[in-house]
Amino acid sequence: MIAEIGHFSLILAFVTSLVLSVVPLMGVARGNAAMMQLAVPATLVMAAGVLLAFAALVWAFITSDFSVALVASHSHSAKPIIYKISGTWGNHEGSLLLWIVILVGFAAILTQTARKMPIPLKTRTLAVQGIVSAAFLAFSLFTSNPFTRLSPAPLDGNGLNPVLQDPGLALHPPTLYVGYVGLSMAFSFAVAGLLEGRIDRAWAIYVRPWITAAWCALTIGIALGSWWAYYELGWGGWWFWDPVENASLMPWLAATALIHSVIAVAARGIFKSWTVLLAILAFSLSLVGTFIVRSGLLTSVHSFASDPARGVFILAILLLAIGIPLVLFAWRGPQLTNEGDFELISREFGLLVNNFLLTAATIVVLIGTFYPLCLEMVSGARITVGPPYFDATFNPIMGALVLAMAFGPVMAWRRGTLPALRLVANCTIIAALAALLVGLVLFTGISLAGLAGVGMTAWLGGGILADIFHRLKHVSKSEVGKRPVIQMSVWGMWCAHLGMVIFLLGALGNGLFASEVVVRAKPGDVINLAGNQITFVGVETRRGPNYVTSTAILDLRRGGQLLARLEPENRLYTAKMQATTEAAIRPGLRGDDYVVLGDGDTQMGYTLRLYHKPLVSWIWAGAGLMAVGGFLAAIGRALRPPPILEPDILT
Amino acid sequence: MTNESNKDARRTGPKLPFFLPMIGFLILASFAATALFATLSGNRNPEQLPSVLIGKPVPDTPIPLLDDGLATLTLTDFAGKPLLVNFFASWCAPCRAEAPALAQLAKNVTIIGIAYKDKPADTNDFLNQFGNPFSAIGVDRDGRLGFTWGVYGVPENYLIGSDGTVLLRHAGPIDRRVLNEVLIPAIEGTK
Amino acid sequence: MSIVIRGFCVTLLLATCILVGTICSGRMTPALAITAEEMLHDQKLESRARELSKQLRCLVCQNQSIDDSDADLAQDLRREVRKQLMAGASDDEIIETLRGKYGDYLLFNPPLSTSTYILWLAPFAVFIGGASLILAVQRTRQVGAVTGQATNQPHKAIEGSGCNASRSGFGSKYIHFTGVVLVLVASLGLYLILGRADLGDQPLAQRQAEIETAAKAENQQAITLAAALARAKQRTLDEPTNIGNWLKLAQAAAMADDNQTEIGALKTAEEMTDGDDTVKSMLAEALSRAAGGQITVPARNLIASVLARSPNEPRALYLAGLAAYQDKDYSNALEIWQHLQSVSMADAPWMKLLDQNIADAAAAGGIDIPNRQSSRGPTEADILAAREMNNNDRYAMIEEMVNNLAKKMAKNPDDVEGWRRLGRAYEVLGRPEDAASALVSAADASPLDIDQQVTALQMIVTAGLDKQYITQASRLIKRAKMLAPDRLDLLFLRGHFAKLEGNKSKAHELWQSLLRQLPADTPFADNLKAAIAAL
Repeated sequence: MIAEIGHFSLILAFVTSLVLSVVPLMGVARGNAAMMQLAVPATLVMAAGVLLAFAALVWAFITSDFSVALVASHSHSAKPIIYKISGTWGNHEGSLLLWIVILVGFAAILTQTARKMPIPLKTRTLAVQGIVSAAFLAFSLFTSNPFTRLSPAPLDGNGLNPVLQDPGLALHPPTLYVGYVGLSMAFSFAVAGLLEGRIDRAWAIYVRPWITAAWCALTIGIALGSWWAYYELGWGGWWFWDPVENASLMPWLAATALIHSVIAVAARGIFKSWTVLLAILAFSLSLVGTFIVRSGLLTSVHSFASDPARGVFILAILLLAIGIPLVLFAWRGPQLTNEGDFELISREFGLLVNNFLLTAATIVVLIGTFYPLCLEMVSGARITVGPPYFDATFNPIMGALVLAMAFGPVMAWRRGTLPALRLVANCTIIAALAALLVGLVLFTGISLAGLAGVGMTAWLGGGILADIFHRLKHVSKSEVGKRPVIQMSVWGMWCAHLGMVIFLLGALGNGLFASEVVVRAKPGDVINLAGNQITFVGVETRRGPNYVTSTAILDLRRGGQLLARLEPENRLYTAKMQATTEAAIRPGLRGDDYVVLGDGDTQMGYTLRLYHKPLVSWIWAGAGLMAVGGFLAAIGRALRPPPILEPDILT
Repeated sequence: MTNESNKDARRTGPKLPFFLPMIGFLILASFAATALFATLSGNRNPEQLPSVLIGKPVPDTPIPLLDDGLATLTLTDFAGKPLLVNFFASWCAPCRAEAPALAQLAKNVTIIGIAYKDKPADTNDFLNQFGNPFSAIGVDRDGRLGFTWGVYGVPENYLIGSDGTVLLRHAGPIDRRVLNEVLIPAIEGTK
Repeated sequence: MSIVIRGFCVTLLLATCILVGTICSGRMTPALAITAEEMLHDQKLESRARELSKQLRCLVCQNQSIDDSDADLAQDLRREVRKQLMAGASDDEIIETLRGKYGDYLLFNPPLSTSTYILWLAPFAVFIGGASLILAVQRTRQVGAVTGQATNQPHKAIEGSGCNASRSGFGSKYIHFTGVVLVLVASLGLYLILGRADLGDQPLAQRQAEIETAAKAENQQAITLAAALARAKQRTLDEPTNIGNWLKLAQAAAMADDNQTEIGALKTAEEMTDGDDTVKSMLAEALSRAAGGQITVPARNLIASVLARSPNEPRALYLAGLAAYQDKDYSNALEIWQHLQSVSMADAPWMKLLDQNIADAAAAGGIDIPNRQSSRGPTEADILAAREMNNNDRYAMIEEMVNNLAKKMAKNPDDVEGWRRLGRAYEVLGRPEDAASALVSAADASPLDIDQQVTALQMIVTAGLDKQYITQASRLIKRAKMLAPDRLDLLFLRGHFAKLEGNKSKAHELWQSLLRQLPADTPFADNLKAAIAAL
């Protein structure tokens, strides 16, 4: 019965979402309080229904109920329990349901928080969230129903894909979805604001936590995906400019722009229409990111089996979910008036530059991702747009952003002061020059682009440190006994910006100084890599729970001292004779040692691919630090007493 | 960024910059829709790549024959009538799927098979099991010939006109749609 | 035909799988790409080779460079790059050569051309356009430029702000109540369309018994099938000139999934019968099954030659339809299968499957199935109807049917369905001896079908032929006992024949055990008691 209860709950949620999409909006339009009040209970019923349905599906996976078609095709009795659970969202139907769970979950959280939020804004936001939910619930029920049953039920499932049995893949999608779907709240707020014809500082203050939370989750989700690609795919890369990766990068860039522009709306009541547009676009890019790969238009490593027929439904949803708000924006956008003015040297202008550069970067990624498809449609010619294109276009824009990032935070609102700016400018220039000098002296043969990267990273680091120094000095001079002047959100900002520095160091260290050796080695051979001696001890066969391995044993020594034993392996999952390669990684602060075992035998020797990747783990550490910064900022704002929301304080 | 400046609160009519996002979106969506419907109707297959050889003379490399490793065949010898060159292999599942279609095409056009990276014994087994529609069978043991032609995966079919120029390439198995809507009309066109 | 049915489910699946076919091992199967042997000894050349490889896309993979890919093609291209490097070509020359073979798709760095102007110029346009815009925005926003009208204006909500909205005529309770009811009713309605309320959960933990039974049955079946195959092989050795033995060997091999033996046996049978249509059709089927379900070209040739001579051969028709289906020629498949439907008996064992196939073909081809005419040849309903005709007509009709059938059966001795129909027909005609003989043949032709064995035994008993048919009956009983030792009607029959053989204690034991399993107060139980007492 549990599966059928789940199915019914999902249907109930769908019907409720239809009510939620229509009735409260009518209520706001007519001024009918009863109809407006329906929004909260309807949201809660919808959320409960979807949650129950998801729980039922997870239960079906846990108990291996193969009478549920989805379980039969994506699970197997021999799977470890943890991968049975993660198998729930390791497929199109289940991941769509998880996506909807998060969507309605956010709406439900909104009903329980922000109690002081104006009722019409809250009602409209919930209703818009309801419309989006209705569309996706319909998509789930009518094209991708997770509760389709089989009778008679097969005795075992079909889903024993060893590559999907991986902790990275168990965590990566839910985190990424929280990010993608979190942006739906920004979207719903934006559409609600457009419907109301009013975007003010209060709006910005209510929407900000959602944007921050979504951005943090998106950051972590992308980092997890990149980390998975790094350790699982076996050739040591961490970003491939793959369409699916681009699809997750675009909403991240837009969300990053949004997180900055909403600051201006909250503080100064400017950039309103732009922020609304960004909120719509960020979620639209999320939708594109999640669903375009399921339509069979762009194929990628990360995609589920695509189905063009499903694509039509997706396209229809995208047209409605993006098209209608954009029409609304064209109509209502001009009515959103701005309330402030600013000088060239001001925080506002800094944010404007930030938004411009991030938007330009988003557009470049968008063009690079979709240009081949468009060209194919126009002329039939097929081209590839790969890393060299993005290196040539995306990287310079990000470089400019890094240069500007050093200055944005030090500038005051409206009219910045020159002394602070001068201090930061001195620090950035000195740091950059020092780094360039060190780079030239220490690393011969470094490329011009690499040198520029090193200089810019030092520039940013110097700028941030100068800002921290400047403000701390300022605080210590200010009167004691008052509220601490440096708020948690500022610490969050520093943290996130320093995360960027860490990330850049990781990317540069790995990009410029990685070393790689491919050898055919026999037991006893010693391979020299980046100052370490790696002894190939031999290969042995081992037995896992449902696989056998050839495991190579390598001893990593430096100056005779044994540092680590590396055991890369090739697994053969016996049930369906599928092979996987597991790299052995010795992670470290200074760099990773990374070994992959190839084919071979004791007579001929084995092919080994060994890498030393300096600072590579800093890439993910940097991303983590950015996310921590985001959380700090959000917590700081939550703890602060609610701001005064009268618009007239601004002038 | 175009949507910022709005000084005059009283002038709130529609403004062009505010339409730009919608226009951009519609352009992108129309490309996506075209691609989607082309995929749905079977006219677009992302795995199909256009060949560089189209409109160029057929490569005249001598090809060793399957039956007799010493003798060779040269495609330019067939000039004067249309030819279909089919790269296949016994290890290739789609090649099995297209065998009936090739058998049907053999009534319309001379087909030369080229066994790509295949052992002759396996090739012979394959032909016994799935039929032999070929007028002559060449072998390309190491894939060199495939490289000359720009073959990126078997099966691939090249239609060569009577004048010895390559007219079209179909990569991937020939299904009924390709047979009736692409290959047969193209062959008729050469006659 | 039962073999066709068994094979078919697999066939449709395979047919679609084959057509999809995988050309490339994508990135999901991580493996080592470049091998040590490929690398050049010259360090400088090798590092150039690596750099070049990273700029070239593996054409059959998802967004992977040939340096990273372990696809066959990537390896070929890596070799080609190194070969040309050894020959002294420059990087540009190598890229040009490869581009000349495979086109621009190969290059990760799209070269500037008419088709990529927009791609390469767009970022600059975005940058310059955006930069000039923000400068313009900033100028209009300079401190002092704003007159303050905008900021001082009170916020005018465009619609009536509902903050302190009045209640309208509806009571809120009324709205909520109707809403809840409507939502529930609509959900329930939708659920009744989409849901499967009749299906309970079937967690694996509760299905141990089912799994064990299935495993046991599979085991048992494997043993039975292997034994049957061995016996059939022996028989062909003992009596190589008997066509029936070869056909039985083919059948046993098919059941045991031994395609090569099946094909060999059928080829022998085909030679011996000089190209009998049924045998040829069976051979076509066997060839196709050996090819993973695809109707191969040699099989198609066989089918065509069969249908040219006997256009209603059911197996050949079925396979011809399947071939058309696999060619995605759905209208043709539909036509052939509907023809088969019209020439088959309504209760032929393949009818259900055929209906399913026809539905599939119609769905796949987007064709509406025209209303089928019910001219399906003689059915059991026809036989019933015949009973109500006057005697002369009835006999004429049935006699003709039976003669046709009998002729067919002589040619086609392993057609279980045919024998069964013939048996029924003889029964109606009041020729119980012939009926029993036909049913025994049906049972022999399907040694693994328990119902067939029991039906034949019952006919023997009803016809009062138990004495004449004692050897056949003991053969059938032996088989049936193996298949379903506990079947109740079989217990009775076994007791009956034990009695005939004079083994009264055995009969007593069997009937007693039957009696224990029967409800006490049925007339049959009373009769049985009397029979036991009579022993």
